[in-house]
Amino acid sequence: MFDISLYISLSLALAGILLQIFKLNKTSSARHKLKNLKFNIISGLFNTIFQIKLFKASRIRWVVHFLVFAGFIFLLLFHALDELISMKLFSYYEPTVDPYQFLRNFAGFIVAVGCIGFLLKKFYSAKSDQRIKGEYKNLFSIFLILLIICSGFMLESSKIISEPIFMEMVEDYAGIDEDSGLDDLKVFWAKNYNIVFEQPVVSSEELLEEGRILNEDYCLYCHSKISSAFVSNILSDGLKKTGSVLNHFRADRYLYHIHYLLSFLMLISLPFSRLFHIFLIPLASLKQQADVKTFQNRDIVFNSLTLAACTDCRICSDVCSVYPNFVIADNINVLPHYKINAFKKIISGAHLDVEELNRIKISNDECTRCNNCTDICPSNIDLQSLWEKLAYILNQTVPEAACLPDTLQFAKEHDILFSPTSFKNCVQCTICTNVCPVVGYCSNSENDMTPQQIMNLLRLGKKKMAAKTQMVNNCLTCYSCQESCPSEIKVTDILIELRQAGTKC
Amino acid sequence: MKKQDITCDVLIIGAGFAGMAACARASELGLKTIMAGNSSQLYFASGLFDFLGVYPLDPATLLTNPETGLDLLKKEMPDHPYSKTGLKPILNSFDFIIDYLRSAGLEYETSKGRNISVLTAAGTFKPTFLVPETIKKCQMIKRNKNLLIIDFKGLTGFSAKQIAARLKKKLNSIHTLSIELVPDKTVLPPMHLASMFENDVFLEKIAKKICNCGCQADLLGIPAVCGINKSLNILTKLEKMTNLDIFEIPMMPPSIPGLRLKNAFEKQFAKQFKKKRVQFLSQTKIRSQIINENEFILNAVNQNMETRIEAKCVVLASGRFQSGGLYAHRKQIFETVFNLPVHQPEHRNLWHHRNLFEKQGHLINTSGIETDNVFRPVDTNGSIIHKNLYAAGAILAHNDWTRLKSGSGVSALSAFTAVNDFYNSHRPSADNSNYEK
Repeated sequence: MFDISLYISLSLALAGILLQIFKLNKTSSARHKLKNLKFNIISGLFNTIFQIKLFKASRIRWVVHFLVFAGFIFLLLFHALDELISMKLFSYYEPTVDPYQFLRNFAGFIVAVGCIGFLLKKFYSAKSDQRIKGEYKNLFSIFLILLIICSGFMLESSKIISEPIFMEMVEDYAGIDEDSGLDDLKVFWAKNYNIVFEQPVVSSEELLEEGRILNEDYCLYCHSKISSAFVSNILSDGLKKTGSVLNHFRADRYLYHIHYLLSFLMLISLPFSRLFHIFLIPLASLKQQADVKTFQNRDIVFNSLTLAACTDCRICSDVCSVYPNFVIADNINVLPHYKINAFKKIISGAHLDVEELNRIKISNDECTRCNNCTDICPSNIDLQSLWEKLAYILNQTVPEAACLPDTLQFAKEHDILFSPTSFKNCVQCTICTNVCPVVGYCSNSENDMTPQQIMNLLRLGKKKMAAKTQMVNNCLTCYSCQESCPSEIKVTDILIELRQAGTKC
Repeated sequence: MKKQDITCDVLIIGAGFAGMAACARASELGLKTIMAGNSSQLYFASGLFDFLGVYPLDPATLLTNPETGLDLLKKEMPDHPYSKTGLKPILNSFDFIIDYLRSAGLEYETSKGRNISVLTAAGTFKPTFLVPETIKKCQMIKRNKNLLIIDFKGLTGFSAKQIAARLKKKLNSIHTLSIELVPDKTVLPPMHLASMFENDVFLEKIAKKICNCGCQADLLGIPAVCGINKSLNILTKLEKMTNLDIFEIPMMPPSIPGLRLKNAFEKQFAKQFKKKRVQFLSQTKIRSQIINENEFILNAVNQNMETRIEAKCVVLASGRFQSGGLYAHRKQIFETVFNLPVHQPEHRNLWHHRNLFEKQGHLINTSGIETDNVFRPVDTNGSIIHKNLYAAGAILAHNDWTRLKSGSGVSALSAFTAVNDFYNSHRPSADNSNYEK
């Protein structure tokens, strides 16, 4: 039964992976440009093994993720595949011998802690901002891992208390019976190894001493102290009361089946759940990021294969320059994680009406291309190119009339950045700063300069410095400042031009 | 660019205090009114209404009764706008504006015919005629009072300690309290702070900090940031929470009382706009004009709209140099909309006195448009330029309002008189009688 289910699930998983790759590759519109891709192997490997980008993005998330990752990899290699790896590497390997017994418990423990951390994080982040609704649909894989770990611990502790297994082991390895001191051994094991016997054993100092000698002779080679299996030990203490019932029904056998079947279920679900990011993030990390050159050549080499690496962690939305726009204007469409979902819908060929497309397009136009999201993305997805791609697709599908006027055209006509008349009238009255919703929302670290200070930089001729400020990227273009300026300076237009010009000015 | 055509009875050029007052009066009289200009200049208004704070021009003599000053002014400066009308119309115009603002929910203390001393952010006292209800309790400052003044970290231009240092001699006991709101923020613009006050939870937090500061006070001075709308309600709430008498201290521009004034006027105009009586063309400049015998045709432009306006009457309330009503060329001062003759010193050298603090002031501050008794601009011979062209506010000549502390009074009076005069001489014909009050 074990072998059959193993082969079935293995073949299902393989078929699933192939199917997913086929499906994604079909929608990947930049496939013909795959040859342009350069690979960055070293940083890719580092990111895969140590999740450096997640570390940079959020320490807490990294700790939680790394606990699950490291623990699970250990369990997979040295516990699940012990016949292939552990036994070959270590000549004295036995699952019940230290340090293997302790390490297995420890790995299981940290995976469980990590999973609980994940759930807590999910629960609290869903609570913090009501407008970003917490979605629990992606928790399947976390619960599955948690179940596998729990069933593993239950299996180990049910084996610990099991009398039938003890009897089998005695028969196989010790070959002693009641006459040659089986009762002594029983006494010793009941006391030191937590076994529950159907007929309670009477312990005394003498019997214990006898048992200890027998234990040394027959068992100690393969059985370390039970206290090193620290989780299962505690669990077995708890199970002792119901031990005789469990032993009667051979609960260990059921738990064994449950444990490996759950593991196979995880294997099958690998290509169909969020777990697929295990393969896709390394792929996305290996790919070199788009740089200035790729943008100059207009090679938007976005591969939607890497988009599937998105784990919906929403760190991109936390650092997004237009986050104030979402808070102030209550427009959730501008947030990156929301746009990624929209993009997924579009490329999967789902039918969206013009209104919806228009809304996505207008929200995507709010993006200031500040590159914060690409910098931080723990999955290493090239989001900057994604927005370019999204704009490109929407420009073709949404009718021209709905598009906003080209601000660059305006800049060329009016030369607003270079003619001093556009800002020389500024009297530094701070009204623009006062009416600016971004100044009201952001803290000092999020927003370095206020609009009035940028006008002053321009008056001093510090155009480059002005273009590098956070404010230029944070501007919502709500035009409050321009509407309220008593000197009639086109404050918002100037900010937009600074953003367009970038460091070139 | 979009284009539109509109006709009206009165076109008001400029949306400062004079423009707002003229627009308010015209719409109350039932005239179809258009106002074109940039209302943001009202951010510079303190929200206090001055009548005549200083006269004769000796800084030591702050007037308590403006009437005595006015009599003297009439004798010594017969060209001053006040000398053209006398006391009654000035008080009437103030009463009108206060009633108008009250219907928009902005409460001013009614006049007692005397000047009030208002505590300023510099710690000095300034004479003024009318104050908002939120400021009036500063009159309670007396020697036997325990005064507490609070400021907020990051709110620039307002220091409780500075005010306390100036007031030390006048009061027996004075305390200060500095409240830190957002640790990460070094700049706290007054408007953002004012909108924070509209939140009840925030108000309770502030009240708790005031109650826990441990000083025995019975009067509290707070920078003028207590909410943008319904400021009086907010102040009363705070008074209940702290059991103190509270008054606001007007601050440097951009000032919140000025913003409240702007909002109150604009709120009323929005109501009138529904009745198609008032239209406000914001951020609009007059590009060109044609003057006929009975009407004006003007081209008004803003960023996305070009408007052709036909008006029977124009009130020019475009202000002086900063708002662009007057333009100081190298040799001469020009009026920018109609190119009216400007009363000015003969030579540029006479514009400013050598001594910045000269008692008689600088001559450039008395330049402007000369008018007849109902504020119609006149040319150098003294004859009116157009029977339906009026000028109001800071643009008027012989009006050094910064030194006389008479800015709001001159604006209110001239706007009120000009609109009244047009209304009386051109009563709407019978078919328009439904406009009447």
